[in-house]
Amino acid sequence: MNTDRIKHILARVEKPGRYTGGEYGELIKDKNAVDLRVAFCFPDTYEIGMSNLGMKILRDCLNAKDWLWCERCFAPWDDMEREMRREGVPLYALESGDDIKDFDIAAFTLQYELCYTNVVNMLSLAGIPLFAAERDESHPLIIAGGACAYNPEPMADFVDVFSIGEGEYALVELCKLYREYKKAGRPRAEFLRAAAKIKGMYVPSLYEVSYGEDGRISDFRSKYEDVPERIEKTFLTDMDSAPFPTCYEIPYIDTVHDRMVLEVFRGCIRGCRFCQAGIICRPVREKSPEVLDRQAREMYKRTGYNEISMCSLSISDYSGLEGLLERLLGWTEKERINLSLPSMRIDSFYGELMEKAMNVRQSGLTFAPEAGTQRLRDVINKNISEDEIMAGCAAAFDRGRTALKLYFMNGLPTETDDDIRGIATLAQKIVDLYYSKKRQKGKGVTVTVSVSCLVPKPFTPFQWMGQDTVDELKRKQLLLKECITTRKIVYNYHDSEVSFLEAVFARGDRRLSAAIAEAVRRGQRFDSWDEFFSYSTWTQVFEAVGIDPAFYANRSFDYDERLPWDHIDCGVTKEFLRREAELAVAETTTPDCRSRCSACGLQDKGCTLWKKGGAN
Amino acid sequence: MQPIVKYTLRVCWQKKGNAKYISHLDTQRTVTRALVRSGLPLYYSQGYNPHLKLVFALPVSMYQEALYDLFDIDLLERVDPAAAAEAINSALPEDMTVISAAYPVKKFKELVFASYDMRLDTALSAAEVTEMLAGEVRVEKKSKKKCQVVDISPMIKSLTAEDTEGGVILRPVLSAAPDAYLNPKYLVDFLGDKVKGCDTVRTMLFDGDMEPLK
Repeated sequence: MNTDRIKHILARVEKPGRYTGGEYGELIKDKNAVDLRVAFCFPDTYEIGMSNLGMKILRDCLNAKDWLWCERCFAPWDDMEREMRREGVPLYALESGDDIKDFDIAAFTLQYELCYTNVVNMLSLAGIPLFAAERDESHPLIIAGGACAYNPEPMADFVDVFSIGEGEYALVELCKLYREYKKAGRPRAEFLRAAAKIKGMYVPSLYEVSYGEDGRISDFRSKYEDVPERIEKTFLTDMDSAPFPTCYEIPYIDTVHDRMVLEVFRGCIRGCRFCQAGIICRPVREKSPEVLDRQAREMYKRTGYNEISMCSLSISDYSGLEGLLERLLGWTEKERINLSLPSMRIDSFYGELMEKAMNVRQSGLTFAPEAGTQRLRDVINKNISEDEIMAGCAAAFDRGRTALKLYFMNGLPTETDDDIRGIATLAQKIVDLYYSKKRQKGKGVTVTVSVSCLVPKPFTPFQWMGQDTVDELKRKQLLLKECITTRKIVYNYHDSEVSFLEAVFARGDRRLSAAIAEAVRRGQRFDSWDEFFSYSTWTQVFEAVGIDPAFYANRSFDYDERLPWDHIDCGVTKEFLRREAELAVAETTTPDCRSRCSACGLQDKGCTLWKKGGAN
Repeated sequence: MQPIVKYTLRVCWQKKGNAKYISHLDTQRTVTRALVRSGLPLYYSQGYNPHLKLVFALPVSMYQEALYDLFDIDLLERVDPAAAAEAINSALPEDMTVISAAYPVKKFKELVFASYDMRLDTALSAAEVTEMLAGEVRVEKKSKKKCQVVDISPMIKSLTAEDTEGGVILRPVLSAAPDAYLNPKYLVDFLGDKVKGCDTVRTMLFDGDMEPLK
């Protein structure tokens, strides 16, 4: 892009390379030769957005169309925002440098709840009216997708169309329709009505919500007969033929994940009861090792990166893992490429191949037992026994690892103080295990215990359960602190106030749009960043708009209550989730999908595990 | 183990446009990846953490462009320099361009001077700028360890100035020896508030005889 108009600004801000584009691999099209211009907006910094695989995939799908040019846009850091506002420079796209307000479509990805203020702030910075009701065909169409779109309600007042599920094909479909309506010069309202008929597209303004005296939703219905009552998510059925970008911009500046990302499969065979991704990404769909190897080679040739990070939920559950590693190691070692395998289960096969595949330069390993006692691990359906945890740690120590990181959660349903103490006991056992073994002289062990707070998420068995209050979470955090008596255990925990706000928006309804708008008006943004998060501001915001945040975060919802996201169909049935919720309380586990099908609802909607004999 | 035979290739390149917003560390990483993509037979150090042997003659500071910059890269084979230049160039972003490649004539430590084009946004005239820079030029010079006021005039070999639309073009030749490098921004610092902005482009690197460093 031409940076002349912001030259003096760039001289005053940190890391100006975030705001100029021009990286190797950047896609420039002739803007006069396309019918539709889309700005793919990531509501966080360049460094985070450029690390996001979903954004790469979707932009690639859109740019494959010669009539469309999809560019990038990120949230400017506050120093840049200040300068832009002072100088009257509106939000622009990195490729052309053109103002977002002049685009046809601005597409936001909602990766986590705390980016909502950034989305709205970016609209404000772009000079686009914040509320959908204030916009017409003279403004860009504002669309949004991503994991948080599964409960789109808190953002309902700002977004014209939500794309629910995987957008590879659905997004192109929507753009096609928009192009048609734009050409014909038809009004925005007509377009929205038509868009609502595309599978996976949710137009919040076409629905009416009523509330009872107790504040709960009493009714939710579409305003028109031809607008579907339920919005079914879209998803790909064959991953081998799925669009996958092997060529993309290589950032100049250091980003969070500055490496090749190889998506191995989608979905998860486990059914951890706190995990939203494990449910909404169902069914399990794998790519074949041959396709992955080919994509990795092509990516390497085009990017020059020296690391491949394999991406999936629970990578050790990939059925072709051994074959894939063999293929990759056949050429990556020679090219000095490191492989990294995130999200390994502690009970997974930990053989020579795996060790070889892992970055030799890192001495640590990370596992996620999630809970400190077997009872609570059964409640959350983690399906890992203490023996398996100890065996996994022993294997890691035997191979010379001296640093282990363990992830846990506080505030899980049915959690007692004994469960909290159990975390300390387990960590201590692992430390003792290390010292019981023959080891390298002079090398100590570090066990890092990292504890987050449970945020009950929509479309999980825990969706009905209220979150522990901030005070209760803090009490539990301190209790655990007191139980840890050795410096060999490093204890970190998440800010419970941040988790509270996440829970409010995760389980919220569209009345929360007012709170988001008010928070942005008061200058809140980058809520997921410590330096910007302000609990006191948020408390004042909720007070000002007359919303009790505890109603959303801490209240347990009734099983027969209408949930704010009940009109979204993620494929998994509410009956299954409820069954799982009841099993959780009964401390009963559910086997993984390969061992036995639990009839989550996808068994006749494209799940292949079900057909492979897992069924009973 | 037999020592590996290495061939050092010298690449002459330019860093222009938006690439001026990229720090040296990020530039190094960008060039490294471009070299990998170029498919050249690169030499890697043989240690625990293999890396390329890539040396820059004199990286330009952030916010400055370079029309003449050099880096050396060690290769495992003696390749055709013109073909190598083409291969690297096609793997670089648009604002970084390879002009040529050759086997080095001189060492980087023989670098003594560098010339610049500095477009000053100022109400001063060329004559006034020349006048101001004619005597002692005392500026606050910061290094990692200390900050001191020094007279940099001995490090200014020569300079010319020319009036232009909206300001002055200053063309200094400054010391650029490894132990006596003068960043051109100090000239702007010295001129003070009267200069509202400055676009700096490095135009050439010279040896002690004012011959282009090759």
